[in-house]
Amino acid sequence: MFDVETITADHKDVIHDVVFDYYGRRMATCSSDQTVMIWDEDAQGKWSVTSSWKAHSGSIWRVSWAHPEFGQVVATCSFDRTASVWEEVIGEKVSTTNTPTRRWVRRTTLVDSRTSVTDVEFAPKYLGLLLATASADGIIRIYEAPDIMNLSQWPVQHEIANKLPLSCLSWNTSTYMVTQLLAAGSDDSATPTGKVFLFAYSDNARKCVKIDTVNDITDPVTDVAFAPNAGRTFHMLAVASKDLYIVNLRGVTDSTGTTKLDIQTVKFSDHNCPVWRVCWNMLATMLISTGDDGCVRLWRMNYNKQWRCAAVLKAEGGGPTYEPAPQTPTLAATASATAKYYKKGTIGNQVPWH
Amino acid sequence: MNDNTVSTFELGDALATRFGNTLTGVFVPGSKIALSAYRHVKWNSRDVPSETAGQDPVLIYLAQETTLFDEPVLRSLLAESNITFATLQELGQRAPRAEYLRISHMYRSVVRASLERLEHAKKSPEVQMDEERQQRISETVIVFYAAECLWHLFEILYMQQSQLIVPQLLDWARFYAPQIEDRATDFLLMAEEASENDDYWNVLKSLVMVGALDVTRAILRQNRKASQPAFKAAELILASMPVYKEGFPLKKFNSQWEHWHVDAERKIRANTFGSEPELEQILQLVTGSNEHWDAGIKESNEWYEFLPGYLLYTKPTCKPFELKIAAANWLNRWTLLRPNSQLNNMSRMISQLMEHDLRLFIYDTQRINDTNWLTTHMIDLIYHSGELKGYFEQNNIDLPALRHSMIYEYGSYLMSTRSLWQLGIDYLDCCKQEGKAAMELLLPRISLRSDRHALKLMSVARKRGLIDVEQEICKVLSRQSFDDERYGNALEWGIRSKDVLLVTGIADFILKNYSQTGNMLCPDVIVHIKSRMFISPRLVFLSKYFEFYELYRNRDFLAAVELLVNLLNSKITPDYFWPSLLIDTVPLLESKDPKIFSNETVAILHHLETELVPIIERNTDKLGNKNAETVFKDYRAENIDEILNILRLACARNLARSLVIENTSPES
Repeated sequence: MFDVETITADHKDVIHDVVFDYYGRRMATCSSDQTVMIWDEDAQGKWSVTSSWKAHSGSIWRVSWAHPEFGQVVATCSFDRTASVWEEVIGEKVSTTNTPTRRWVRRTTLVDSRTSVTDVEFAPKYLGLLLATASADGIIRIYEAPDIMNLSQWPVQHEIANKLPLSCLSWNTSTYMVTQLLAAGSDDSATPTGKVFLFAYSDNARKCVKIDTVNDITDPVTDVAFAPNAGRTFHMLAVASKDLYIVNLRGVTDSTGTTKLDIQTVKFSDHNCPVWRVCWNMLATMLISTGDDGCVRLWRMNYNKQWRCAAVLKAEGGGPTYEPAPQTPTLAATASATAKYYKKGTIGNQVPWH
Repeated sequence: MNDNTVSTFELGDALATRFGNTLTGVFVPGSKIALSAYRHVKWNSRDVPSETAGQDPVLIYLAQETTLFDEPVLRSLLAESNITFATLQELGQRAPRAEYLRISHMYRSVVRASLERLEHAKKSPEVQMDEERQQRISETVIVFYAAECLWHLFEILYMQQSQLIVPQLLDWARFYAPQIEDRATDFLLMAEEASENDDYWNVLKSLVMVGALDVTRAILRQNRKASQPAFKAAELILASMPVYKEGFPLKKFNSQWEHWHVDAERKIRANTFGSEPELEQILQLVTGSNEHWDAGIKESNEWYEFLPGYLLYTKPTCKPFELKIAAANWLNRWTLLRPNSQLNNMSRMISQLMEHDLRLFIYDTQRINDTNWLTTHMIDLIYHSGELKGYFEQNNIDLPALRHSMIYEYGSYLMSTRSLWQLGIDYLDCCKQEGKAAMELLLPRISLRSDRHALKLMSVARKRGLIDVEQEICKVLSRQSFDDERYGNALEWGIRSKDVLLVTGIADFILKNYSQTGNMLCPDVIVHIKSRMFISPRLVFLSKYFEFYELYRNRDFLAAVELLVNLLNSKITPDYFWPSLLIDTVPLLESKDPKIFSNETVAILHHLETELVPIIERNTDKLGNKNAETVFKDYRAENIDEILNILRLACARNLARSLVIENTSPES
């Protein structure tokens, strides 16, 4: 059972991406209305927009927050073929007693792509201040800010061309086994080939190169997400395609001493329709998948390390302020009735964990 | 566990249910989920507003799995159970059985103390004003009251050595159904008057059925007719009922019991109580008359209410394994007699415990709205005490894995909850590598409320060898301070983080700011850097330059000159600082009394021509525009050409002067 709090966003059109900062205290949203909004949570837990600006001249697909050790920085990518980096700066003090205002300024516009920039994501912090973009012309570009105190310079470090248009990318945040591992997906539907590609830094070539393709997934892919690694000895990649996939990547060393990736793909067909988006929780013990069926599915790993769908959240229904469901546990031995806490609006029943 | 039924929840968002739209969700760091309407748009479709634009409100829903842990009064329960948990971990798996029983008692007393605090809080004026909180407290009381009740029963049946369970079950049942005893107390206080009460006999029957014989007798003795033969005979029967005590030979007891039973039934048949039909009913219950108990069952609220009482009169030596059958029979009987009543969760879980169906019991405990407080602590206790090991093996449940998973989930839940993170540490600490890895991910994501808070987080990280976490926190604090223009703090935290890039960046900023404004930021911090300066060459330069700056300001010119020349020769001067460093020589070169020797003057001139001039040339394009002019600005000069002129002239003058002095002074 869930407590639900509703926030009204002033976006004029559907939101494409809702992304939270490292601590979950700030939220960035972007929309087809070409604006970006930054939200802050106050001490009482109320969310409000603290900045909002027209960031592009086309739909904005994605937002990404940089790690807070680089300051308050977000990157956006858009249909208008560009990606931008924005930084929050302290404004002029109005008076000595007031707290200074803050505003977001554009630090750079990355104009290298000649097609829609479909995804943007900051690299894990141990790599420095790096930014990767994927675009519809099939190119992954990795930019780096050499001077972390001055974010106006973003030279391209790597450019990797692929034959298929790219729709999404994800950095692996774990340093286990490999450094600088990156996955990208293609939503191309014309070819029957693998749609998820893996890239890594090659010491020999001194650049980022494609190292593998997940051949089991040949349907168009719309989202990929590496799982945070809490002590696992393998990497997990969630893939949104015709179905939900979890791809396990293990490093195997053969007799000659060369390390290869062993790729295992597990398919989950519960949505029974295309899956658009995937998202992991902080410890990768839960996964959210967005289906075209108007449902969000919540997956949990049980104590046997198996993934099970634990809950379905449906778009339809009567509204956020529900009476408690009749089968809620009535554990009262003496009290007359089970008082359910639903002031804020609650939905459903307690989810069994195992 | 086999779970085919996935819980489904409905949100009811207008935009998300429009044609072509769906619902999407992301995890919020912490324990929430953000939901919003989603529409998949392909990159190659036309970029036009969607047809639904502006028709429905665009909403974001922050959903959180309901938890009672938000209630501040519950914090003490969480903290105290955390301590008990830690004690149990220290105890390990080989302690005497009594120790585990003691732990079980501790957990229960923690809950009971909290329930009292909750009841107390409920009456406080601030809660009285707050309906929402009042409801939450009521629910918390219900949930934890149930948790304690179940735990108590579990303890009786599975934790203790005694094979004698009936007296304890009686206590247990009475404790959780206190209403009857409250009435009994009223009657005792009313003495003789009580017998005129309308529900006098009903209460007495209930008292008998919950096995409170002593109280029943006391009330009967106060009856107006207590001296009549029927009452005297009843008192005799009740008083002589044999009570089984541990260690007493079973056979001997059984024969005593049989004897008493036959005798009591004989007296009833002999119509001893013909004049007092109500009294006779009491005695019929005591001798276990099915007909009368059936009547009692129909009056009961919960199936288990009168079971311990029934056992007292029919099977007082009942052992835990015999309870399984007795409970099943009793539940059957109860359902037959009350075909319309349904078992609620609590009743079902009690039957699971009594019927030894722990698999289902554990499954159901996870559905209690206590964020798995009960399951986690109980499974951990089962695991340590080693009780029921056989049961889990037979049922193919990997108890260590289940325990690990419960503790891991519970610990990480606490750690990702803003106000409870400290309580999660002990739990994750006992999850070995996985727990440490979880902390490495969760600790740095706790938002830093204050420096003190940050220091606390860092000390937790340091104790566990999570160096990266500690440094990450320092870097974030440094960056935050820098963004807030608190440069001294930024430098301090930067140095603590040992991050070369960061420290260099901040030192650069301070130096550039100085060369542009002549204002030295955070001198009080720089002066205390001392040997910590060696993490970055730029910081070394800043510290050394600051030392010169201080000497100069204190008019210790000779020492200042020596340091300045050293700095010029040091090869760690950043490009942008050359103009300022060289300009610093001008007043010393031009001062009335000579301060710089001829060879040092030559060195200055040398640096001017070999360092500054090439830098200027490198940064000048073909058209003669100096593209980095802003960088090369010093607050004391208009432009770089002017600096060059002044310097060359000053050097020439001082060189001439010093050569004259050096070559004319008396040789010593």
